[in-house]
Amino acid sequence: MKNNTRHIYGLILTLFFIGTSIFLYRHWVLDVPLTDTETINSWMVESNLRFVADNNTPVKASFNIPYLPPHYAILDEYFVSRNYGVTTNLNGDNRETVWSIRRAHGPQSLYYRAIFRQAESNDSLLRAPGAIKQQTLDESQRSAVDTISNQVRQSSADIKTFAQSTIKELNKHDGNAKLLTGNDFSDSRVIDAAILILNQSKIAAMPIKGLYLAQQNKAELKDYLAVYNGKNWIYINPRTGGAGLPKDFLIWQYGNEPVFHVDGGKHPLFTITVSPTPINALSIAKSRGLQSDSQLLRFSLLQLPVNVQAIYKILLTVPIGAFIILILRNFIGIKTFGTFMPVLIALAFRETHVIWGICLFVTIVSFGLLARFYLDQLRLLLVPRLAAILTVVILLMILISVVSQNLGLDAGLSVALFPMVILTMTIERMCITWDERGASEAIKSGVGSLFAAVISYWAMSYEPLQYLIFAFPELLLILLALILWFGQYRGYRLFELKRFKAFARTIE
Amino acid sequence: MINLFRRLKNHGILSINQRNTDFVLRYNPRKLYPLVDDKLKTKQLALKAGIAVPPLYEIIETEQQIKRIEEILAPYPDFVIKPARGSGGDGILVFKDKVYGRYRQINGKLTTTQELSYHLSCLLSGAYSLGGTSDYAIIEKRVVVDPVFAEVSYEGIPDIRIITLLGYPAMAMVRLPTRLSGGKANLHQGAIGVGVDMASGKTLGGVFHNDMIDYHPDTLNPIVGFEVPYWSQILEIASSCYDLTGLGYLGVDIVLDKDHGPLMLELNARPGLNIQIANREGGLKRYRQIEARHEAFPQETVTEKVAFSREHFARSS
Repeated sequence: MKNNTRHIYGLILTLFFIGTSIFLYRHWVLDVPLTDTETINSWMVESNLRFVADNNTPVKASFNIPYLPPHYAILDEYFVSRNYGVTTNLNGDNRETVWSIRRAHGPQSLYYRAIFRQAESNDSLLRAPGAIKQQTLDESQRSAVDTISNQVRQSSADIKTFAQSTIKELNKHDGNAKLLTGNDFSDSRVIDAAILILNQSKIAAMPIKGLYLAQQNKAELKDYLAVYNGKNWIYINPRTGGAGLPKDFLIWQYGNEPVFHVDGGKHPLFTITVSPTPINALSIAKSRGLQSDSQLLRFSLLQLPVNVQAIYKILLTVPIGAFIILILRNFIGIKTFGTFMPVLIALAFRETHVIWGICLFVTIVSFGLLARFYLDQLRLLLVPRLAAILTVVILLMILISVVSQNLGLDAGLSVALFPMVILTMTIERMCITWDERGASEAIKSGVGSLFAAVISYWAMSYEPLQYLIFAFPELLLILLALILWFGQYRGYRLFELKRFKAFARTIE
Repeated sequence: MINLFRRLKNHGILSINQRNTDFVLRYNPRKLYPLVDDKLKTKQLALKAGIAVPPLYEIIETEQQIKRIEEILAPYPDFVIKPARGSGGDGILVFKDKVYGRYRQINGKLTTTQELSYHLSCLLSGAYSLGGTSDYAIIEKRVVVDPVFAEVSYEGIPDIRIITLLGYPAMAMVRLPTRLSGGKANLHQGAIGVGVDMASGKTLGGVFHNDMIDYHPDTLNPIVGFEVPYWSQILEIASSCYDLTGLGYLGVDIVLDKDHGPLMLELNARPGLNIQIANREGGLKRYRQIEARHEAFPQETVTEKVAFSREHFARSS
C-alpha cells in the first residue's frame, strides 16, 4: 500500500511537473500569450508602384523591399499585380522584387504588402564594407573637408564619436559645411557630405533609407547614416548626430541606389502607406511556429484546419467538465443520472444558453416521462420501449422547434442540439428510479444532474479558461494530475456529513 | 461542519470514498464480481460448500418458458421470483399462494398470469439488472419468517446483514421490512436496520432512514434486546463466504427460515454504510483490528475467525 501511495504521488508530481514546464516553456520562450485578447502592435506597410506602360514593349519594373530589418520581423507578405511575373532577388544588402510582363497597356499598378511586427532581434546581417573609394576633390572642397575633419578629430575618441561630431559640425551650417552641402541642409545632402568627409578619413559609411512606422498615408523614405567602426555598423541620426536606430525606424534599403526602376514605362510613381494592424498574439505565435524549428509549437492544435480547431476547442473543455463532476460527486456527494451525462447536457447548454437549456431539458424530460409512464401500460420490452421513447423525444423536439419558430422564439430552435440518446436514457433511468425509489428520489437525482450540468457549463464556457486550455493543451496534464490527486480523497462527502449528523450526536 | 467532520473521523466512521478505495478496490478483485452479481452462481457455490440456501425451483431464461409459465409454476404453492443479476432488491416478487387462478403476493396483491409474464419478460430484457444487460429469473422456495421476527416486521422477510472482512465478521445488523419499504429489507427503500451485538447476537438499537429508532414504526413493538437465534451458525456461514468467493470485503445476507434455520440469501461486494448507524459505531476501528489480526495469523479457520470477532467486538452495554 505504501508503495502504491508513493507510485501515485510520484505520477502526480511527474505529470504536474511535465505539464507546468511545457506550459512555462511555451509561454516564456515561445511567447504563446496567456489570454486571447493579447494583441501585439504590428504594422501593415503597403508600397505601390504605378506607371503608364509603353505599348508593345516588354515591361520590367523593380523596387527594393525590406530584407531582415533590425527591430522588425516580417509576419506575412503579399505581391499583388495583374498578370505580372514576380521574383525577388537579393542584390547586395538589399532585396528587390522584380515584376515583368511581355505586354501591357495603359496605367499599371504593382503592390507589395507586408505585415511587420516588433521583434526583439536587433542583429543586422549587413556585411563588412569593401575597399573605400576616395573621391577626388577640388581644392576648395579638400580644404573644407580637411578643416572639418581636423576640428572633429580634436573632439572625438573613436570612429563612432568622429562620425557623430562630423554630423554635428555639418549641422552648424557654417561656411565649410555650406560649401560641402551646396547650401542645402536636407538630410540626404548632410549625409552625402558626411560620407565624403568620413571616406577621406578612410572610414566606411553609407546612407540608409527607411520609414518611421506611424499611421501615414503617404510615407516618405527618410535618410539615415550607417558607419562601419571596423566591427559592426553604427546608425547615426543625420539631424542630431545621435547614435543608434530608433525603435520605430524600419530600414527599407541600404545604399544610395534609386528605390525603384521601371523599364518600358513612363511616369513612375512610388508610394508607401503605413497603417497599424492589431494582430492576435496567438496568430503571431502560430506564424512564428511555422518559421521556427520549435517542434513544440509546430505540433500544436493551431496547425490544424480551422474547423477541426473549432471542434477541439469544445472537446478540450470536456475534461474540465469531468473534473467538476468529480468534485461534485466525490466531495459533495450530489447524485446524478449517469456519471458524465451532466457534461453532455452542459455541452448542449453552450448552444442553447442556460435558462433556455434548463427550460427545454425540463420540458422534454417531463413529457418524455409522461410518455414513458404510458408506454409502461403497454408492456413493452426494454429495447422497443427505449426506441419508442427515443422517437417520442425526437417528436417532442420537432414540436418545440416548430412551435417556438411560430412564436418567434429563436432559442427554441436550439433544442435540436440536445443529445437525444442521452435524453432518452435519462428518461428511462429516471422512470425506473421513480418506480423503485419513489418520485422524490427521482426528482432529487434529476435536479442534481441539472445542477451539475449548470456548474460544469459555467466552468466549461468560461472564455479565458477555454482559450487557455486550447492554446496550452499541456494543461490537461496538470488537470490529470489534479484528478489523480483529488481521487485520493478518502474523507467524508458533504452530504455524508448530513447523513451521519444524527448518528454523530448519539456516539458522543 | 469541520467539527462534525473531525468527530466522525475520530470515531472511525467509514466514508463512501474510503470504503471504495481502501476496502472494495483493495479486497475485491473485479474478476470475482460475477460470483456475487449472479445469484445463481452464488447459490451453486454455496451448495458446493455445504452452506444452506433457499432451495432452487426453476430457472426462467427464455420467452418460450414464460409462455408456459403456469405449467412450470403449477407444482409450487408459494415461491419467490428474483432477477439473477438484480441489485438492491429490485424486481423481486414473493408469492404466498394461488387463489382463483391468480397468484397472491405477500402484500395481498393479486397478480394475473399475464402480469406475471410481463414482469418476467421485463426481467429477462434486463430492466432490473446492473447496466441493463439481459438477465434470467430464479424461482426459489419462499422463506417463511422465523417466529422470533414475526412481531417486529411488517410483511416481507427480515434478514441479517453481516459485513465480513477477510472472513472475520466485523459488523452485523438485522433488517426489518416496514410498510414503507413494501416488504423489502433494503434500508434505502425504508426498512429498519437494527444493530446486533457480535458476541451475544442481541439487538442493540435501530436506524430508520438516517434517524435512530427503538421500536418498529408499523407494529410499535420494541426492536431492542431480543436475541437472534442460531447466532453462531449465522456467523460461521458469513465467515465461510470469504473462502467461497475470495472477496475480502463482503456483505452477507442471511435469512432465518421457520423450518430450515439460517439460509444464505445473497452476497454483496459493495455493502452500504448504514450498518454503522445501526450499530451506533464506526466500522473502521474493527476493520483495522481485523487487518492487523490477519497480518499476524493469516491462516485462521472459520471457527477461529468467528471466535476472534465474538471476543473482540462484544458490546458491554
